[in-house]
Amino acid sequence: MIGSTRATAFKYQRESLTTGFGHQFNSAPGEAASEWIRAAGVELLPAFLERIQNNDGGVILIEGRKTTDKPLVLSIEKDGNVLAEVKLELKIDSVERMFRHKNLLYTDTAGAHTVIARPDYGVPGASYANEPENWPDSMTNGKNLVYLHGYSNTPQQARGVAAEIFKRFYWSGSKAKFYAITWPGSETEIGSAVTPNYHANVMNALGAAHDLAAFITTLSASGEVVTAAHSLGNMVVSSAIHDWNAPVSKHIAINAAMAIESLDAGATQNLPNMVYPTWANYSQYTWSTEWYKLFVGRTPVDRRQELTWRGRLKKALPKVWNFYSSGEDVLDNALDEEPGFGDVVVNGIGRYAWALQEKLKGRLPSNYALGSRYGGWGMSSTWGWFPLAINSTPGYVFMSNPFFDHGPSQLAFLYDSDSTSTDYRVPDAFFTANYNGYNANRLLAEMFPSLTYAAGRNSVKAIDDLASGRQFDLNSATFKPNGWPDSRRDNDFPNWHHGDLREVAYLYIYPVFDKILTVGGLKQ
Amino acid sequence: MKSLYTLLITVAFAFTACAQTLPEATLTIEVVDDVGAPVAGVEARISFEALPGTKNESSVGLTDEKGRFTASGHTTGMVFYAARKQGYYENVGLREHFNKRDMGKWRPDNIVRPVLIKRVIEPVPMYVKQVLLEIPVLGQPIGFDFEAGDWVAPYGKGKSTDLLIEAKSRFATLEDFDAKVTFTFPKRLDGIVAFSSSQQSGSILTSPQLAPSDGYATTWSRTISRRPDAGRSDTATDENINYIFRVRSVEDEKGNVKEANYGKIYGEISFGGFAQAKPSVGFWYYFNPKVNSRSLEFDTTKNLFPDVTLPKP
Repeated sequence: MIGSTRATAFKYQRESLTTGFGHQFNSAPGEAASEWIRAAGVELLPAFLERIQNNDGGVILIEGRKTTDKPLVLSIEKDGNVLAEVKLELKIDSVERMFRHKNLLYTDTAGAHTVIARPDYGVPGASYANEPENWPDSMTNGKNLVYLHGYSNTPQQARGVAAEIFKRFYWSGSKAKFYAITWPGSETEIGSAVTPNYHANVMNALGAAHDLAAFITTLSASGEVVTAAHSLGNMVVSSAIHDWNAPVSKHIAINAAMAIESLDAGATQNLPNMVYPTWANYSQYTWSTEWYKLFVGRTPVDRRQELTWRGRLKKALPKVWNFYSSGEDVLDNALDEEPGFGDVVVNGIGRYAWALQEKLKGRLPSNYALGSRYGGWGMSSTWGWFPLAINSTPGYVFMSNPFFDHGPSQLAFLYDSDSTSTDYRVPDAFFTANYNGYNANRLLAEMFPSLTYAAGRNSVKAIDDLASGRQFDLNSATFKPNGWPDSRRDNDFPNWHHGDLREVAYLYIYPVFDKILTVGGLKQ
Repeated sequence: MKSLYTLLITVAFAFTACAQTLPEATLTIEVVDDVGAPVAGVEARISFEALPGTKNESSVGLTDEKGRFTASGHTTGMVFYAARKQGYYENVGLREHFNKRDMGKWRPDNIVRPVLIKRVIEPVPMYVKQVLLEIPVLGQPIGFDFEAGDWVAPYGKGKSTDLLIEAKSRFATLEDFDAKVTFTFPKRLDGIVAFSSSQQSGSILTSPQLAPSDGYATTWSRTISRRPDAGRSDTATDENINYIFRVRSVEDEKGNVKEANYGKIYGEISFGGFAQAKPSVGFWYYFNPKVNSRSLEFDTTKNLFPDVTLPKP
């Protein structure tokens, strides 16, 4: 029970109130006692009755525990006799009945996934596409808001994320039809907690993009499509736009786990911090990050020039509104340090994780956790490691015998002795499907590092150059109108961390949802 | 498949084992105020980052007469520390990153780090706003009024030309353009002065409490260009840059400041949108309307722009 009036009942969502709630209307909203309304009912307290008589009404906030379509009954009784009764016809139902869901899990070809047994999308490939019965399309503006979760979300976790994000958009006044996308971003997850193999999920992100694009194309026939994604979900959307021409009008990138250079090929490189330190002694043209350049401008086109993150998703840039956080932990900018295995175990699954997976490509004994065991910053055993000799080797020699680790024998076709010839063609299947068990997306994920920081931690200069007002630092005071929760005071207070879009209560971060709806034009 | 299980178990075990055996770090913070005096009785907090999913080890206590507080804890290497006391602006979000370990300890051991807490002196009502201004006409100085938060007429509702903003731009492609924006303060004693201070960590009052009495330059500019072969260049390079400005100055008979208004800009002045017909300039400013008050402390409950909420002093 709260002492507010109808006009102010929802102030608790946006103001840090310290009183007005509970039996005596003197508690903060989070501390107020609540009553369990059972079949026998709950007697309203005299203080509340007085309030509703004299103070323009008190308000009862109701939280649903189970679905029901039974009315809530207010009865006035005296000596056990009902004198009057009024029924509030209401229906308490899952918030999932207010939005649609699209399941892209079946697009995963890298491994089997368990799909959550929800009746209406409980089988792989099925989706909940019907008009939501509790928020029919007639109540929307006809626009489509498509939301994608990030890395390390199981299908069940993705349901929770979608429900929470939908509610926050709804509270901020969204009038758009909402679509939650589930994509295979949790391959290798252990116990719904840790997902060691980031790169497998990068491949899945790029792999799921085709079907996302097809879905968006269908949606666009009914109205404008605005996409929003968190973390690695941004790669799914960006690839859908870049590779498959998805007709997205605007894309809201939130804490995007994507290299800046993937959107802007000419972005300033973050050297030396993104370089594995031992490579600083070798000329940049010997690095795996530069290998693609050896194949640029050849006739006929040599598609090995595509083996770089630089510009890999650049067609998405004109569509991007970038909500980054300078207070990131997971996407924090790399330090100029040499990461060791200890860092992988100790730091790698938390702070600097994104940068570490780039810097540890080719440096780990396994592809399974964080980094990889080939390419990247690993060195080929076919060369001596004397910098003077390496740095004086002509670039064309590295075409067939790079200085970086060549990887498994299945990749020998990349470095065939004829591969320096302009007639040499890497099979197209390598770029469109699989060849010898590998494909270009896999090599980008595992083998070729980025030399720029993450877009979700920094502003992307090319976006500013293109159009003003498209980048927002989530860590700025603008987006923290009520400070930051004290409960996070022990944890890098008061910085906006990677998962805070859903981890931190709406009270503290509602301007973000307001802003997204404004730039997306989704309130009207 | 067996090897996968083995690896799974190994990784899980490694995480568990490391949680129990993270190296220990010791840190002392030394709290001083803005005149360098140690502050006793400050609530100090030192938190030692743990592995994801586990709780940080934290110590909270009061500083001694030397302003010192020491704590130890097991950590991944990242340690957060903060300090607050009534009558001072809280210091939040400082961190120390250890990367050398030896014998189960992070080194150096018991490192001492200063923590500044600024005194609350004179918070005042201000006009506080974040603006993103489309340049109405290129190559021509346009007046801007801080109190109105808008261009001066005929381009906006402003009346006082506090500064003139002029932008020039040549745009061919996103990889080939030149752009420059210049701020010119029309009065001789008006101007702008930069200071470097992080908004993400340290005192929640990023600026000093008082604007300086001199050191103002009457012009400021930012140039951005890009070439396909040379990449992007930008004269703005300090991500912790902020500015203090003085406007509406009136000189006395000796040419000194007789009257003036002061304010500040948090963060870099943004400039972009070169692909559009009209580029934009943006900044987040605080304008103190009280003549001759050099206070830069914003009373966060008294923004003179209605309906604009910015909780940062």
